[in-house]
Amino acid sequence: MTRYGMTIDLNRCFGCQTCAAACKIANNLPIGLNYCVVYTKSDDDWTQDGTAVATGAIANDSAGGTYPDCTLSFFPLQCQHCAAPACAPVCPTGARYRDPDTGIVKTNYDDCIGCDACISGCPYKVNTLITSDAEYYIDIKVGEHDAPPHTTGTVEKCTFCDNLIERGEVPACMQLCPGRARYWGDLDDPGSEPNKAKEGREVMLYKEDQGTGPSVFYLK
Amino acid sequence: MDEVRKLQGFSRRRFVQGAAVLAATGMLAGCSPGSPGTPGQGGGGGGSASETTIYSGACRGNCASGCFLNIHVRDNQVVRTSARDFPNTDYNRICSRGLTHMGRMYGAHRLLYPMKRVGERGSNDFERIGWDEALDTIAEKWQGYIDEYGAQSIMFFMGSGNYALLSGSCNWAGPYQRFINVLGLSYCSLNVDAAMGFGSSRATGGIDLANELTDRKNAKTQIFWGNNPAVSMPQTMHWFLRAKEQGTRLIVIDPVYNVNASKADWWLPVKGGTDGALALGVLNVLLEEGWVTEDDLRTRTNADLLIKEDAKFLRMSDLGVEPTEEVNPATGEPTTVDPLVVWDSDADKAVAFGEAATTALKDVKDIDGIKVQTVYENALDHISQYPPATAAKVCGLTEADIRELARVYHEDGPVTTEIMMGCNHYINGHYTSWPLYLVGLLTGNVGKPGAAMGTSQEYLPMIFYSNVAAAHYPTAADGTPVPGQAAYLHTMLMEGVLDSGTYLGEELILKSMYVHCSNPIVTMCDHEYTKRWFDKFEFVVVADVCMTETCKHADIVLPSAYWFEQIDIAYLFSTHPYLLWQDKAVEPLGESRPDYDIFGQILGKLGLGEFWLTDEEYIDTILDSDYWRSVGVTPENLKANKLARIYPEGDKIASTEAFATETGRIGLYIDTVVPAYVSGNPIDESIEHGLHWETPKYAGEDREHRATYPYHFLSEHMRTHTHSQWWDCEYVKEYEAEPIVKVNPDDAAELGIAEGDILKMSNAQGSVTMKCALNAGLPRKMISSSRSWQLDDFIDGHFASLPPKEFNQVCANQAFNDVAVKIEKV
Repeated sequence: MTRYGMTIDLNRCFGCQTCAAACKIANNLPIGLNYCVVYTKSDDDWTQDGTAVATGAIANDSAGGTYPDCTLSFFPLQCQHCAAPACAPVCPTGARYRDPDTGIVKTNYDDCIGCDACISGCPYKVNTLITSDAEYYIDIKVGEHDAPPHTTGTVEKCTFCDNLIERGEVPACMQLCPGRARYWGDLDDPGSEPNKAKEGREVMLYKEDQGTGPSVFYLK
Repeated sequence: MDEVRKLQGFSRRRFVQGAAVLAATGMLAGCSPGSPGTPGQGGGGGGSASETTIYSGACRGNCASGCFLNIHVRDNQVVRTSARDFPNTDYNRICSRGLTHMGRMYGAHRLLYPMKRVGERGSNDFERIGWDEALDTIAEKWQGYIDEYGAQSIMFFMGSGNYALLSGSCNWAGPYQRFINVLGLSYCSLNVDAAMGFGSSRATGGIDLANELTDRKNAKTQIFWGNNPAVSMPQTMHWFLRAKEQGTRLIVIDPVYNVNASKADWWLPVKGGTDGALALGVLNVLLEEGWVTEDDLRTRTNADLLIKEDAKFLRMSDLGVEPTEEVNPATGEPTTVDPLVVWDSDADKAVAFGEAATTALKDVKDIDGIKVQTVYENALDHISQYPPATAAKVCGLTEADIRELARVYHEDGPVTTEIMMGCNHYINGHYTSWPLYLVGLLTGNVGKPGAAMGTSQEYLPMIFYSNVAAAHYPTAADGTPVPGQAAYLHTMLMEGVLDSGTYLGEELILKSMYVHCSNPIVTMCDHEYTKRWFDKFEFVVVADVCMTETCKHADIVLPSAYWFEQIDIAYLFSTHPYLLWQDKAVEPLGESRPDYDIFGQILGKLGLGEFWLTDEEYIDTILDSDYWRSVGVTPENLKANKLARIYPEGDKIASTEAFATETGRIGLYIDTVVPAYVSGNPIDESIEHGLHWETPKYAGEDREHRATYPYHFLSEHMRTHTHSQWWDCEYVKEYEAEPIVKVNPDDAAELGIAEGDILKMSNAQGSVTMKCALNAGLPRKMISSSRSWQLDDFIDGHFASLPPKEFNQVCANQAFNDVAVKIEKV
């Protein structure tokens, strides 16, 4: 069995947005839809996402505190592909499920009715309802040919790029992190990159108290 | 093409291709480029996907990254770009820009056919024309100017928009220079990023002090000084962070608590533009503590040279020894040798430099009745004006900070000092650069593993070892040389030249300009001034991939093919030591053509086609040198391997065995002041021979200007634009949506400003209006914004209207940071 996951070293992340852009293009995401958002953190409250232009902030990269005692860090957030995903049991049609062979939390778009249950149920707020015909910046279908369909009335989120994984590749956000902050692999393999990266480090599971068992580990 | 991925089992709607797609959405219907934000129909469920082909390519704007790319092509369209493997995968790289090329290639602003202006300059009122009409018009106009005023009446202007060989710019080796030389055109410099090199060359003679990025692991300390790699050079960042994890101490000297500062072991919040005072304070400590000794200065610098009252060095000819004629071993040219003089303290007499075992550093009495001062005395006179306590007050740090920084340079080496343009963008920036470089140079933190200064942007072999003699200076069939470049001009002087029809007292009537890989109306200081001189040209041709603000001021706009629509070589100013091969991944979109071909076609129309080469011939010519062959850089290797290393294997470590100064040593004084540009204005040489420092002319806190304009306005790069490039890409607006001014929260409270308010920043020269964000990382009375947006992006005014066009008396350098403004809430 495999349980795909990633470890993100927050000391290495410098907020460059490359993972977000890689995801945007590889998945041919429409205007305003982002599976991966890099939040600016201007405080040390790690129960909150932070702020991002992608979710309505005016600017990224603003420090908090009082000069010169300032605080600034970054928090890349996407679906945590939880071991006990809060979004799955609340789905009335079974469209949202955890794939036991990969640990990836998937969506059967044919069965999704866009009812909002997963959106409300997910403590990470990483689900987006496609409310009307998706619009795109350009007229070219970019990214992978089998990117998610972005069908009106369905809910989408990070897929861990399962289409790429099936071809032996890595998720788009993992393909090249300029800070070398991201580690990808099988969490069930003790020698995998995400497990090795955790050694000797303080590991944060985001909103751990929700009992979701995220497959994304943050190193602080 | 080096890889084809067959993807089975997908049957989707067949996509129309290339320009046809754009026609379908109305982008070809009008003659002006489409309006931004027109939603496309891209994703939906469309797209034929039988096959994706991957080509080699390079992202090559002026961010100094030079990212090696896989270009994913489906149905003859670029659909994705991804990082391609370097031999050392630590060099692998891509960013939000490199990932979103499709937004530029297929975006609403892409130029698809030649156009001529039919409205006012700047109006965006253009008509589509054919290539024949465009080229015929250019040839007819230019031939007329050449016949009446000479070819010097046509001026070439380029920016750093493309660091490729063939269709690129600013690379010293490109065919643009052959084009200029064949016609005999005048040329105007961009005049950017000049102060740091100009100042440091007084110490070094201009040699490279940067080590390859792979060397950062060897540094015990790395210091970012006026450098913001997290934003400006993101592909260098992981080398620094990894070194830090392995024990290298990271120190950041920056007025702003930014991402770099957040990663630092020690952040020094220096007051903006006062880094020179900090460096001079450090030099005082180094001397006071004996960390730089008189013996160090005697043997490693020109401190023992003697300065006469006329500010020139004492030479043997002053003592009656006739100069000799010798052949310069470097150039083979005859040269006059008039040795410098030092005072031999053992023999108690003046001797030629190099002939004394021990030289005097001070108190040298008159020699043959000539009053002299040592360079040591001259340097100390200036350095001693900034003891740590004084320097601390000027630069907003504590005396302890300055002493600690000095100690670090002395004890915690090897130190790599990462210097970029933060201190450069002031009118008097070169006065800062000299002492700043001396800190690293005098403490021996150069020229060895872990010890370096500058940034690892690679360019030396490309400039020095490319065969430019053959590539740039063709001869006619009868052996006649081409005319070569005419006048060499500077932006600050342009309006005066255009108004007077003279340059430095000689007639120079300028009629036409050709703009290549550049968007000067956005990127040059003093927006109104730039527009004024730009619009004084009778006939302007701009070639670009998209309809920039500059294009709107052209008479003819030529559509350049995109980077991936032609073969080329990513050539220089990358922070990796490789040349990268660009495959032609797709056909040029619409009627666009490679810039390389456009040059040849213009020459052809002017009857000068014999001087142009095919693109492959040009590559063969420029790489035809013993150096390139010695390191295996050949056209064949590049095409086969898609990249080639420019240095022998192993970390490239800069050599500092000999500096390029007259003595071969570190310079503390120069006796001949050579201005970096000729203005015709008088020069006060008294502050140029030796060390001298002053606060920024407009941004300096002590300047009267700041009483009226209390805020120092810092100009920043963006993560998602490379200068003004990617302005045309909608994808990246999800990370940086619009121009924003960032304000310290306490200043905001004082001004009654909240996040999201609209502010007008103005000074005597101009104004700009934009939304504000609060950022506690900014010190009081400093605000910041990005100099990367076009006129239409601002609520009102233009950010480029605020910085001065003015140059220092000897250094032509756009002073983007030497800006003070007042703020009004709108």
